[in-house]
Amino acid sequence: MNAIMIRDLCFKYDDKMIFDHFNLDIKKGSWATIAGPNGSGKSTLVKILLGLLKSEGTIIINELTLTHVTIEHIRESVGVVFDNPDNQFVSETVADEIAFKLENLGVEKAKIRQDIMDIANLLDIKHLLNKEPHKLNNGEKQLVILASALINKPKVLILDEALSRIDIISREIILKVLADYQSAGMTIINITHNLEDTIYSDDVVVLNDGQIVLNGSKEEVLVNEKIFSDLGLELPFMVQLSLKLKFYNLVDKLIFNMEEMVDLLWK
Amino acid sequence: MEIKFNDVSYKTILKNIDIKFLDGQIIGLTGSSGSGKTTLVEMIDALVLPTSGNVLIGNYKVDNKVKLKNINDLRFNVGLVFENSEEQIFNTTVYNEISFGMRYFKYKTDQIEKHVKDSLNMVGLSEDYMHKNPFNLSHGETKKLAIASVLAFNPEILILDEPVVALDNRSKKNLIKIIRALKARYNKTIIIVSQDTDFLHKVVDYVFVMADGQIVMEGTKYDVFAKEAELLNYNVKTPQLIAFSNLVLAKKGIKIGYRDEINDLIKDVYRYVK
Repeated sequence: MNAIMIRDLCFKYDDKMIFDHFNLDIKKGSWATIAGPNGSGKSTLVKILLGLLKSEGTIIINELTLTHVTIEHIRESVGVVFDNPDNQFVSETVADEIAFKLENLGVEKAKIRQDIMDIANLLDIKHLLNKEPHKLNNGEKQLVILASALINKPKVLILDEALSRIDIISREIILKVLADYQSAGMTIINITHNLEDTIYSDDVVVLNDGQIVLNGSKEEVLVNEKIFSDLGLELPFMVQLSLKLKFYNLVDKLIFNMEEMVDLLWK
Repeated sequence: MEIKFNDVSYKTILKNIDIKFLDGQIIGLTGSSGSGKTTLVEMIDALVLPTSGNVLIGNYKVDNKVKLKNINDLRFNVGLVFENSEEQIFNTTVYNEISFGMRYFKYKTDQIEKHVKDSLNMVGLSEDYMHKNPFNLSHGETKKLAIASVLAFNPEILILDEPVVALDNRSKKNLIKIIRALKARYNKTIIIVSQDTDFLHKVVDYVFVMADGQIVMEGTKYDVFAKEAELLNYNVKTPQLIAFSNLVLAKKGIKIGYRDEINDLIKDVYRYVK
């Protein structure tokens, strides 16, 4: 079963064909990374999926075909975190910001308060709830936007370069929280030019010039060293290490965990 | 040009900063979001003035009494590229954006075009970009334009605030080359603010770590980055090249040493495993 199905997608911008009969499936409950260099069409794809850009072809999200009739319903089931958090704030306090989506859905006050506390505990942002979103630092802003996106437990979460400004501790918290949501059935789509993020995902799709260059499990995709280097993309450190050690016959597959690698090398 | 912070505080954001950035060094400044890194470097360009203490930049002194005339002279020597580069761009063509600093600092007209082309070249943008509208550029191109605009007026000190966040790997490698060349050929003082310690490790000589408005660690990159547990306390990740060597030492008692490049690490691993 697929969370997202894209069939024959065509999209033009300024007479330039960005997507020409583009097809892609994202499996339900999977964690997929969509990677590609600057200008490969990644962010355009997100905007199309959210109905922010008009395109031709068929897009099915959570079993609903995207049209002007279904768009509102689809948006309720898709959470999105963009790269630039400043453009996304609408409220005066962090708590109001996180509550915004639930208020619009008509959820009762007591339930909203409880949900806010739950998500704030999960993401460790309780101390920020009464602050003004604009006064937070970049990492905190991203956490707040993530909380707002997760608050109604969407079926699909799309991260558009959303982890790039976050510091290591927040990042670890987020990755752990997202893994829990994924186990509970959420589909996670992480769009990035930073391939380090791929090691947390199941599947990797590589885009270039609006076309799929590679698509498969991370183990299948990340071994294509030459393609990544031609695209100007840097493989994750552990993948680079694995591939080079494989060349010297010191390991025989990709190893994503550093401890496992050290144990294997010095048995 | 040497930079010295003399017991500098700013509101509650910076607390008693007392450090020196040496002439001709590539310096990394790291620490978690909100630790005060950006405020500290903005003081070198007098965008933020100390509440107490002063900063000496060569012969210029930045304190809370500094005069506008001195600030302009100082800014001729300090090139600052902001984290959100799109906020520092305000001209309608790339040419005007890059030449703005030179016009402001009264460069001769015949020199300006040459400098614009050279700067574009250095950051890896073709001359075709000269007549483009900066507001139509991608995030990565905007960052390159911001760097070119600063390089064009040839400042003694170059400050890059989170330069690689928006850049793909090709642009990142290019930037590392530029930074190394600026140091080798022109002996510039270069300060790089970044949370990406893998990037810093590849390019800097000396590292400062900030937490809660204070400098909490400083030293050569090997001294600082080797202290994994201490870094983690300050929410800073150890570069993976260093973390690997640390792990081999901790788990297996084998000292394979610290490397700057993955290929050198592989050679060590090969030697010790065989």
